[in-house]
Amino acid sequence: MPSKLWILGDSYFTRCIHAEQRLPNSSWTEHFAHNIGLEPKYYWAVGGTSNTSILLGLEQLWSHKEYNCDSDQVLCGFTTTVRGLMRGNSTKRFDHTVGIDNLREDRVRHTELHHLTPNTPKGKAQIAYYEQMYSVDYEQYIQHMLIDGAIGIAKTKGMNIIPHTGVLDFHYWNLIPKDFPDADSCKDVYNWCHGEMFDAPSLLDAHHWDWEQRLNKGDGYNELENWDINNSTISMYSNHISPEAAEVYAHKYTEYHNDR
Amino acid sequence: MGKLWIIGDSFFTRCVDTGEHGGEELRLGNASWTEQVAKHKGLDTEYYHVFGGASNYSILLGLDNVVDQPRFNIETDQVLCGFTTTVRHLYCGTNPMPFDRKAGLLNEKEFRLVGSQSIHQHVSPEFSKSVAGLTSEMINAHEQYQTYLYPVEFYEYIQCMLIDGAITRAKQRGINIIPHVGFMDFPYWYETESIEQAFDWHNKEMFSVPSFKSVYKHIIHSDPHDVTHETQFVRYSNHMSPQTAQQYAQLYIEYYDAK
Repeated sequence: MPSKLWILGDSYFTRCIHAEQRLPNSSWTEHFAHNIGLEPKYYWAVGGTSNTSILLGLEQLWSHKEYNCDSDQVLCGFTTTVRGLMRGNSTKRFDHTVGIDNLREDRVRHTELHHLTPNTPKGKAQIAYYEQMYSVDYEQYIQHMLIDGAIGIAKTKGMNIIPHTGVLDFHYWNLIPKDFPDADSCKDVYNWCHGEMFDAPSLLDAHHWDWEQRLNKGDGYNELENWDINNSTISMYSNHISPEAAEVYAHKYTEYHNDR
Repeated sequence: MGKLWIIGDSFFTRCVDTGEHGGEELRLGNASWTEQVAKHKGLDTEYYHVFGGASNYSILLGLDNVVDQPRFNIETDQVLCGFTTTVRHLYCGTNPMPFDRKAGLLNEKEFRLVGSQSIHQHVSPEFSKSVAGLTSEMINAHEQYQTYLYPVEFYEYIQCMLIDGAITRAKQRGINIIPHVGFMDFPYWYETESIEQAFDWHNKEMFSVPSFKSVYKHIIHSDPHDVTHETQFVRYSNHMSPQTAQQYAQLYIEYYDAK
């Protein structure tokens, strides 16, 4: 049985679905796994997930019966720090030993889901929380500390971990300059002990590739100049990257990975 | 002479007789267990990021910043990092200035961040305005949050992960860190389950440190489930009489020397 690349992360780390059809071998994670001779294992890769959920998955991996610490590798992709987990609607309490069932059973739920029900007590409480109590800079700092520490522990325990920034640096990408005019890279706002992931090719490169293709060979639409989420390549694919760009990015990422 | 940098909550502060039981507030020299441990190790005490009511988040901010202190010598100094109960948190304060990690403790002093402890203690809106700059809207938001959204076990888990990771980070940076479980096990002081079981700890060594409860358990108190009712808990800022502190320091030194 081939060794596995265990994949954790948000939508950028999932397989590719386009027009409600799954496109096999069309995601950059599948290409990357095959490029390094591993079988992709989509273990904890979910669209809209938070860093806290991803780190719960990373910690749970140790107890997964199929995980082989000696031969498997772990691609752990991070996400924007504005996402979090709060109490869900289940009366059952959070229990770290049940892993992803905490989310499936709604023991905890993502903050984005609470925003969808603004008139419920939880929805109102969350709105009040974000208006009165939420410090974006501080929450980012805490998540950076959490991520850096978790990478350190994984390495110390002998996990062959490949940390990936994913959209952790989303603000710095400056896709929406009017909203984030002076954003700093996450690399510079924290004293990282495991900052090597910031040297890897960014997923923004894949977007740029898609945008250039569309501008020069597609319908001529300039996504960079006319940022519109509803008319973007990002919305066309479940993992936000076309199969062509995914292959190009995977090649670039594999080169970086092999040169490390 | 090297220094012992001390980070933690009230249990790690120097000893002040609060005057709660008559008399004036008085700082008592060499009366805390941390001073006695430092003396035994031949180190000077440096009470760096240590105050009553501190949360683990604040303590970890202190630990993160200690290497940037001009007086910190990574070759000769040691860092005693004591943790606290996981029910304490930090939230956005009333100061419009954003959180700045390099500002360390100033984030709380300037109310860029505010501790849940402050919110709980200042539930009266009038009092809150004068002391912590809290508004009634903030207090209301906090109450709603606690009622509907706060997942106590999940945040306990996240704090354990944060602490475990921060200890690993400190070691990887070459800091001579002495982690201490401190008050973190407080909800379980008289239960069978400890916070040690609430997380798959990588840095387990701090759970073998003598617990504070070992110096309280022989003392008769009104409620066997809560040592905070003890007279010394209120009378002294670090919750230990000089005699209790000496007893604990001795236990701790024996543990440390035997390691």
